Amino acid sequence: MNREFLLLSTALVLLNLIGTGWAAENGGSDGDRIPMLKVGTINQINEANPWDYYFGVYSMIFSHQGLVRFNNEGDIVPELATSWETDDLQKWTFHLREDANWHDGQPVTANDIKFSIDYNLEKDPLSKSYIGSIDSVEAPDKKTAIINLKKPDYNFLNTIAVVKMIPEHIFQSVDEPKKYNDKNAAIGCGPYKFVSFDRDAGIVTYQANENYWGAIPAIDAIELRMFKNPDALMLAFQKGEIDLPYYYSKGISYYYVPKLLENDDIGIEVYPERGITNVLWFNTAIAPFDNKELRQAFSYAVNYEELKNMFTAGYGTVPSAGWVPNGTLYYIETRSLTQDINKSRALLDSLDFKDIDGDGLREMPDKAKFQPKLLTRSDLPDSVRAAEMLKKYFAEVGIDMQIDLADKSTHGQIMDEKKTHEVSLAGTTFWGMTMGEGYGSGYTDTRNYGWSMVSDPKYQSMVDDLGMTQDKDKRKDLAAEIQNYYAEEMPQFTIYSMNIIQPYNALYAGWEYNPLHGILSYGTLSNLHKA
Amino acid sequence: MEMARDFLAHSRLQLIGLFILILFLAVAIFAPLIAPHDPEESKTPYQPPNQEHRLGTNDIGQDILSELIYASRVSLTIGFLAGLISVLIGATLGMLAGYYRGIVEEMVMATGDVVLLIPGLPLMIILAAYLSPSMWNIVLVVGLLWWCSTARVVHSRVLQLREMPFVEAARALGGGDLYIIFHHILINSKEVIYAKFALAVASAMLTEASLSFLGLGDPLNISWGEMIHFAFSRGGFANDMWWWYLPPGLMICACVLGFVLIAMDPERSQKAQEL
Repeated sequence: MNREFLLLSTALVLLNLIGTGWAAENGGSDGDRIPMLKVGTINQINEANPWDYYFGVYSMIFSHQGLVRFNNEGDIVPELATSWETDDLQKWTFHLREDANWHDGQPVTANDIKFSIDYNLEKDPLSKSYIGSIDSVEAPDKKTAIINLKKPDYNFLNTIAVVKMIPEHIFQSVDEPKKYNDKNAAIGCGPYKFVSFDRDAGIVTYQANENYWGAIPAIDAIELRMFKNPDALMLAFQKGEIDLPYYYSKGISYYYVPKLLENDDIGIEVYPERGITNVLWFNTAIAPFDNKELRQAFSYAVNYEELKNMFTAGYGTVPSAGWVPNGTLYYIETRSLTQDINKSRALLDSLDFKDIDGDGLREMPDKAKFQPKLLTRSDLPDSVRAAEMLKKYFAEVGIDMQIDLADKSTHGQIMDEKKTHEVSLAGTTFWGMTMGEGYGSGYTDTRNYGWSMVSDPKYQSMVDDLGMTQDKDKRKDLAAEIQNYYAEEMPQFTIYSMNIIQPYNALYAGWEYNPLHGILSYGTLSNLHKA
Repeated sequence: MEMARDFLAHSRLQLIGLFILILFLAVAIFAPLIAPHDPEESKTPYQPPNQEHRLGTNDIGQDILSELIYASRVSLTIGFLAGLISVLIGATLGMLAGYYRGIVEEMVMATGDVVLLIPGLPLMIILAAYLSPSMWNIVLVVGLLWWCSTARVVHSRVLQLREMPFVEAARALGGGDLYIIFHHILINSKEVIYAKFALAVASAMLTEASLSFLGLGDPLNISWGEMIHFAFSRGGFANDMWWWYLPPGLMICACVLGFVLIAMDPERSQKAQEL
């Protein structure tokens, strides 16, 4: 009897251990699972359509996937493709995983990959800014996709990492994807399925995908709540109405921190910023901003120390002229940006930008009033305030800067498509800095997004060399050359940048940070559990 | 006796209103003399009230008291101009409709009814969002959408006046339409127009504050509404900085109260009784 009891007890203990081990691998025991994660954001989703900017961002986080993805260190790792190879950086062959399915049960095939890329290039003109280098896509069998580029591209995996794949069987009959707001438009193959979008309440709901090929999601459902205002979002967070305030690729402003520190249920982590918080961009394709001395004159007028104190408190550093953020591979030290009013004035004088009518503001060499327009987003209070400060700094050296506010959509149209801006204030993201051939070339080079519209053959030649070079030493030299080019030519310069301050609900543990999507990383989605 | 008491009560309220408005006008006009600091000068941000900054400093280190004083200029300018536009349009259309009647009346009143049917604030939000954020756009948006109630009230008043014996007498003596409108109708409608103007200014100020609070105002011309907007979007509410968001709110209340009190005209009620 005793022996039977001992055997039974041992078997029960073993079963329990096996069960615990399995559960731990999948994000903890059932009791630790998170039934609902409430995420608050001020990112405004207008339609549950993957072509809506912010819905697209959240699709990439929750419901959609690409061939590869960035891991927590910012390196490329497999996603829908288990492996890939290239001999010449021009022809890339991807081998797809066997067990990936769309949310409606259909398998993900190489035809879907080909369709997704072709469809993007055909239907979304903006996609040419980042995948325009793709010449053709082949699908020789169901699980092999071959992408042929127009020229060798060392950085191609970084580019393709953000191209979300869509199901051919859903979209093949859709002519205008931006108007296709059917629930099927949100079908992806990621760990979460889109459930609903309540426009009036501003809530988007996702549910765990029980048939997901990867680790079982640790959170049963995710509710994304949209707030119109950062203070309203932070008040809701302080009251415990949401678990996570989330700004895609950015953190919260420093002035919320003291109040949050009083709350034991709230944790705060600080991560290095791998994008740049706020950059002043010049449209170098139009006069007089095609003149590097003029751009330098602007840069000497700005009080970086004051902006650092005002907008980042202790979470930022004075930027350097090389523009690329510290932490980037092959980052080099360049001169720190400092205010030098006399130098700024002298540069402007030497360029014949002088105050002719005695009103304290300078006229252009042709005697016309010099009133450059500074474009920035009206929905970002930090940017509006930073623009006000810049206007003051520039007025000190006699530049009558005119602030031009635009909503997100208009700002995007001007910067990405029309290119009619003169000077603009906008931040960059981690992925943005890696697009093109990296080192911010996607933002700079006119062949990509080109916010500063640089078409200088010298610069483009360096970028092209980066695309073709695999040798590490050569890449290091080229990266240094590009940073020195920025420091000298100043097609854009940072006005301030700060680390990412990310608060979270400390009653949950397992939060993981990823440079692309921040704290809403795959690590968090698969490991979060009750603390 | 009762009438005298009513008159005193009304005139006392009106005097209080007048006093409030004169005070605000004086603050707006003499802002550079009253403000302790340059409102654009930046010092340490987020300071609580202290000796140097009686209401602390805002998110970019500007003295809140000085900003509050200067903001009265923007708020009052927007209120006055928007009120003026709405009353000019409303009074002109109301007078023409009431005096000429017929097709003019039908068109004006029908247009007014349509505009009145449209929910005002949401329409203004759409227009303000579509147009770029500027103080002048807000003046135009509010002014062009706030005329209907003035038009209706003036129209009703003119309908009464045009049948009065002295108007008929003027017409019998050969007075032209314009002469009658300017010398008899307008003069006798002025109390109504004054009252509607005061209320329109108050409404315009409230609307501007609402639009600014929603982020649709002009951030380069700081009004009281804009001050609340920045307090609400850059940590003022979340950090309980009452000295930042409460004073502009109180200013709006006091100023609107001044306009409402001044609109309580005792002469108007007397005239109404006489008529």
